[in-house]
Amino acid sequence: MTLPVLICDDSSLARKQLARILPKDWDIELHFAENGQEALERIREGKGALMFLDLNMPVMDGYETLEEIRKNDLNTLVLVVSGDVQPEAKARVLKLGALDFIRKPTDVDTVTLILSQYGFFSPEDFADSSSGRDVEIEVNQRDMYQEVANVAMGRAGELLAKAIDVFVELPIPTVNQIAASELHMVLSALDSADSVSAVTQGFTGDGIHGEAMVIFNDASFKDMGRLLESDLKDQKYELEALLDVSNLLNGACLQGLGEQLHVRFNQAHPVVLGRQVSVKELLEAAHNQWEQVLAIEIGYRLEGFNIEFDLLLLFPGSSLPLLEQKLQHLLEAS
Amino acid sequence: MSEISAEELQELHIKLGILGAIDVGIVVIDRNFEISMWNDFMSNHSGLRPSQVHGRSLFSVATEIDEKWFRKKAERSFELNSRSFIIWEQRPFLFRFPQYRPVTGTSPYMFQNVTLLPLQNTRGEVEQLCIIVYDVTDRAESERSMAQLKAVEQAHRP
Repeated sequence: MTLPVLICDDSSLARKQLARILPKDWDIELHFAENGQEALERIREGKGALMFLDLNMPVMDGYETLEEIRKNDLNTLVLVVSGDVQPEAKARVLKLGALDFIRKPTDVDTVTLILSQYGFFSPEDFADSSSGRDVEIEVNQRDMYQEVANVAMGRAGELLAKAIDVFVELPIPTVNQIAASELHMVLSALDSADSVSAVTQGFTGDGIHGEAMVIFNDASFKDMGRLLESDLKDQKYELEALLDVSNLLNGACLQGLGEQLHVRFNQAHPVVLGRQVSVKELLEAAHNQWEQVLAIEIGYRLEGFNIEFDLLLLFPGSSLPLLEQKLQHLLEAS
Repeated sequence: MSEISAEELQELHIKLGILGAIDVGIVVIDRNFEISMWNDFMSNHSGLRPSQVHGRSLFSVATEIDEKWFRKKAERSFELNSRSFIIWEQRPFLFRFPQYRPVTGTSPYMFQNVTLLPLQNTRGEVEQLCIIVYDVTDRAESERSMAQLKAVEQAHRP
């Protein structure tokens, strides 16, 4: 009997990547949804006996979707596929009734193994269990950047959660291509901040150049002290906290990015960009830069604390052709 | 283990020569903070030869290091296998060295940026940490005098 399988992910790249690695000879009928709400509709139409579910999505995220499924007793089995790889994220979805948790980016072997573990598919039954299903999904550039950033930010969140023992609320990364002089306009997550402090760090690899900037809402420092159990309450301590967080985030994020693009990035020393200034003042140095930049903004929040900070990944226009070439490889390889 | 060929030995010799001459400090410590490598930069600035520091605790060799603070940083790098940076704005230096230009320099000590680099063994485990020390006195001095100028300018504004 043909099994109706649903892939729910807001990213077209992620949908395509997953659809292409499902075993070729597996007798399924494939459906797609871009958020939880759409997924629930498909399930009610009988189009999702098995669902691959992403966690970070607009409209309705993966956690809410799992709750709805349980509340309405919907007939579907859920495998979560997520870039948010904190142990706590896994524990939460399993508690909400998901069968298992698959880390992004995933591969043929992992998916085949899990499918056979749960009896959906047994490789012995088929002569050709290779992947390579033909799927017609158009992937736009923004989606590619967003998904790559999504996986990288998940890695950074995992490391941060490990280091300071908190649950990190991961957002959907926003991707913008704008003039450097207008950068302050994309920092939506810091809209409400009266003053901010930031460090920036240059990185480079395989001819791709970029800058990773960590920007703290100054109001966060009070809770940060509570979290790091630090007895230092002065400004020197704030700089320590800023550097600690940027060391962790930038390192993990660039490693996650590098693994996906097959680039090993070198990092320069961080530089203090500004302290207790407005977002606009902070980016003053970029005001006279006419060049277009690709800006990926990731607004992190720590659950249970009043702590907000932004990770901003910036790529100058001159690095984009190389970057896009790398992304194309990733798309073709999937 | 296989024999090392003459060419490989020659290459190793050259690499060690570069490591010695490079104007950057390189120290390798293990999980007990015992020193196993101390390059020429480190011996020249500290006056301590490698043989005098080998196998000794970093904190007994460099008593100026705030032990509690540095342990926390280093242990995080060990645990998470993640590179970490310390900048002069945070702490002016890790090792208290005299400044490189004893006559025309304006600061009594060398400002430093430091990288903590976890080193993996052949099995992929992190057992050692490389401390890389950069002299950033010139930059720190010019930024400080800029800040002083700004403060003076502010004070004289009508």
